[in-house]
Amino acid sequence: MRVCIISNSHAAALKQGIDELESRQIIDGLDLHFFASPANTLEDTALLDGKIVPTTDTVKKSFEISSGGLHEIVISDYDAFVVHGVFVYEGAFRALMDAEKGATFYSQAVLNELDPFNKTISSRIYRQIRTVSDADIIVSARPYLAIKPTDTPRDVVARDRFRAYINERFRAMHKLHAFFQPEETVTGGVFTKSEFNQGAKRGDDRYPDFQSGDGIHMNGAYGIHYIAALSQLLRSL
Amino acid sequence: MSNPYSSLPAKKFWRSAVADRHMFDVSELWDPKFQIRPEDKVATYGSCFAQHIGRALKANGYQWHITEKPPVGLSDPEKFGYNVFSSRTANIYTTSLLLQWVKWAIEAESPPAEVWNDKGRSVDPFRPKIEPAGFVSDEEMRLSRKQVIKSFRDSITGSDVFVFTLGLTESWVNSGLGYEYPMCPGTAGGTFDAKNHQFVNHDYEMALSNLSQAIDLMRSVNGNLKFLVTVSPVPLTATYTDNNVIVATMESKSILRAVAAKISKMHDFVDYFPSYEIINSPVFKGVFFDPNQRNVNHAGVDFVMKNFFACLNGKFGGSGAAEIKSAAQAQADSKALVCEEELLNAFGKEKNK
Repeated sequence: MRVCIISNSHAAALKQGIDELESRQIIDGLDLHFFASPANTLEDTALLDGKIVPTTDTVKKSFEISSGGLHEIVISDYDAFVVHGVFVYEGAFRALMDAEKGATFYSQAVLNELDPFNKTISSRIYRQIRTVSDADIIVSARPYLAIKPTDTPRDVVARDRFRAYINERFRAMHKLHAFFQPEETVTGGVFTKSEFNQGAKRGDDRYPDFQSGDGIHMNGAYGIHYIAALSQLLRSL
Repeated sequence: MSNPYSSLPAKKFWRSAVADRHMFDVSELWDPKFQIRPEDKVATYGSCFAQHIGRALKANGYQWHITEKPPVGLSDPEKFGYNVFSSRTANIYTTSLLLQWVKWAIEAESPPAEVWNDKGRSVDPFRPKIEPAGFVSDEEMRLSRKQVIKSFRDSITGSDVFVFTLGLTESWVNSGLGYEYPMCPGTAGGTFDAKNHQFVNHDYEMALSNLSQAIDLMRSVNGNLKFLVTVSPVPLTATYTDNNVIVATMESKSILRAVAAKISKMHDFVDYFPSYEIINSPVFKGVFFDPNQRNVNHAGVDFVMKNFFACLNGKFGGSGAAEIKSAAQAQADSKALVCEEELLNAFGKEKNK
């Protein structure tokens, strides 16, 4: 299965995880390809002749570095897509879930305006891909902010309610799936264990590595957990 | 020499009330019959101008009783007709249309099954612009209408004061099935059918009777409900009568003004607030209108609402006029008025060439 992973700076941890897992032959049968561009620069892409093409030099150069020389994503080349780091955390769906599950009737148009997915870059990329491909598309948020594991009480009830709701909502959309952060990396329900926030590499020689303990960018150990869990989902499709 | 006029206050005489004052110092334009307290729940409905009242109430710490609220987080609720009136009825221009909504709300009548179609989307004939792109299906339209009728009923049963702004006497009805549209079919949606769509221009008796019935029905489910009636100072966008639009406007507003006077004299629980006079009186030289001489400008809205609160506070106590938050600012903070009737402008443009 040829899988295209489209992401931002959070691709670095995943790439390190893949390198490790490939050496252990844990992800045999999955051919994973990266296209990454920093921060929200994935907005600077357009759909052209069945390809996702950069509209700025920044994205073009980033695609080239992260993919090993390619400047554009030929959508038909892949069996599945993972759009990582440009989705939203589960809690962003609270307003939509409350509106949809509440006693007051709201039209589909109103609910669509509330839908946080519609406002994300992952939604934009989903629509670009779906225009020309029937492939499965997986979206996932960037890692939860990192904290020391003992800093907060564990509360996953609300989070899992939102996850169930997102899954239910995505089932109504063609071959769209949400992928959530692996539980082994999580503390307090919605935080990343701080051990995964140490020594994160950027994987792009143009920029310095991430500041260790920045709370945001995770290391290769995180990537191993992520890719291992993701590969299970990909095989189940 | 003593006579009945000698003991009257200054506001009763043109010279002391008007001629000897700067126009912006004209005051005491309203002697409220009953108090509206900040804790009272106030529902607002009617023509475009009614929208100012709700927003000004809210801006000044009063309870604008919105019974059909937008979902939390909706970035532009007015786009979908939320926070415009107390529920998503859209404009209710005529007293007969108010009566129709009230009958649906108290289940004296069922809403018609009619649905309009526009490029595969479903349109509510009684709120043709409430969903900017139309409803996705007839079923969604019906569910939305069921919601607004419930919410409209809640605003009757749960409010202390019901503010209604009389807007028009001209209306369009389905003559075969006996119901009224807020807009002529074929303008804001639907297709005009000369066989079934009939123009009706309400006279004084019709307008009064419909308003009286609507009030009686609302009081039958909420015996404590008080009413504040106003007349929109906004001229007609278009008339279907044989008259020039200026003449038609004057006739229509005169009827509505007389109806408002009559209904407020009939009941101690109905009051009239003179926003119509404040904007339209020659005393104010038309300064409260935009250059098109139709739309009321922010200064006008502000002046109306300052008078509203000043008169209330003057009679019943409360915050002074100086503390009143600008109604125009409340409007500026929000969106432009939602006024379907202005769609009729589009049909007059060709004739201007």
